[in-house]
Amino acid sequence: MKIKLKNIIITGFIAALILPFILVTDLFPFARFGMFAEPVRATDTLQVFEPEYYKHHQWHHLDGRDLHLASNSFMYLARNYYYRNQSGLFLSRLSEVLPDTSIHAWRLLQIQIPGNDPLQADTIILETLQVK
Amino acid sequence: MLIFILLIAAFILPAIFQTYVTTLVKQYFTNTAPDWVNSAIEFIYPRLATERYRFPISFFEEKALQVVVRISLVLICCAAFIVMKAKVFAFKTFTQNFFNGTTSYYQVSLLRILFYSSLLYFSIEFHNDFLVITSLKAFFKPLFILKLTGGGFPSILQGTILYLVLLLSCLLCILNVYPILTSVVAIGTFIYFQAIFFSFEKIDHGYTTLNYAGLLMPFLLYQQKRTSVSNSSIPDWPLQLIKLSLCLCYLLAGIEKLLISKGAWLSPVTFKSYIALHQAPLGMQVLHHPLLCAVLPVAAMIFQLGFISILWNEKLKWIILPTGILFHIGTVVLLGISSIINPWIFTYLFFIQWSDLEPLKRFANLLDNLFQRRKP
Repeated sequence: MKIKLKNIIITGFIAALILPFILVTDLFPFARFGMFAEPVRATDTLQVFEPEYYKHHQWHHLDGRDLHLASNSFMYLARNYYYRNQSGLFLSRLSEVLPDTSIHAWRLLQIQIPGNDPLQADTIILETLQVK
Repeated sequence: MLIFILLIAAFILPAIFQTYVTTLVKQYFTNTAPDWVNSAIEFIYPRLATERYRFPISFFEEKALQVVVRISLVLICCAAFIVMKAKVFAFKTFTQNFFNGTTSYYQVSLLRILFYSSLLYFSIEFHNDFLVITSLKAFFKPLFILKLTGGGFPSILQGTILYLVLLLSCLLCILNVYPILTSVVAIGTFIYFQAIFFSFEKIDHGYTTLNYAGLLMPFLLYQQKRTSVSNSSIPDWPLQLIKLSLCLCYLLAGIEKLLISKGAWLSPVTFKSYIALHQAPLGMQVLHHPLLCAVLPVAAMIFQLGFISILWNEKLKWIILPTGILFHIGTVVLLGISSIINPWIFTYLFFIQWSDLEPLKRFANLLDNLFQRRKP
């Protein structure tokens, strides 16, 4: 049986499309479409990660948009560093990205919002980095 | 015989999983797994370096079970495909003809012009995005595809040159100048820039359908190049494969939701939770209409699972494609995600027979010959 190049390309490409679905992971540029797949419950506790910096005697919130980054992408990054026990490294890298000499310290906050009710929110300081 | 082997494998795999894989997953999380298991898991699942501290072992055992269920599902689907091909005449004819048809020369030319114009349009902001992300390179964590090419974060000069190469290759491809070479360069640089942007621990799927179409377009242009006479027919298998890829994107996204949520995705309660999470103004209005909250997730699922029927009956495109546009607009207005100008919608252009429109044909002819050498 003669195997045509066309058939190899078709089979290989379909396999590459299906593989991320089977392995439950992205194999960029081939994607697993897992967005919105995990069901969210109203009772789930929402976790928000917020970096802050100390400047002119008060704490200022740093949003991803201040770095021209989507807010959720920035929070996702902060969350990943926190779960890897690298919150200190995250703040240190943040101070490299924003080398402002008037900033005295950085800190990473975790805000837990149970049942999506902001009145029940609880804030924890995860890490503080003194830069001055 | 092949059907028998596929079905046996589909049913044996879960048993193997119960015996070996569950233990290996537990060993990985207790740091007692063999080195090759650690390496294999971390190679395939780089996100586990983070997620292992975030969820309990049971979460990952369930994900491992998902992998086995999916392998079994794919094997059963392969067996069903072979049986249907052998027993159902209409299905046999459909599969035999699917990759063996032809398309017109001008249809390929118009798809080339439209697709690379779209790629050009979506690439315009890449340089700006690249400059922004340069300031964040302390957080750069390269994707596997970038590690393969051995490159780190490019300098501003390298990024600017690559950006110009991307724009120029799209432009030259639109103008039919070395279309195969320029199409390969265009999609290579387009994917490279995305790889840079997604090397900050978050992969976006917005451009996925453009990537798939872009990876296959050079094959279609090659088929066109082999045909010298403008009016002759061109083998359309790359075009059919593009259409199949786009359909599979929707189908797999739908199945993914059903498998991961175990059906809970269809529940109005889940839908309401998503809306409440994203707080989009129109979404918050919909929360007050229980009927809409019950109907919309089911309608979205029917759309995602049913999109592939466009391949079986081409006339369905006049229903499915407008529904697709509404589906993507719906995610923007109800969940506040993505934007109205969605790359997924742009790839619907592959389902339209553009060459039926005479003025477009003349336009394609004009562009095709603009930079071609005249024969003496």
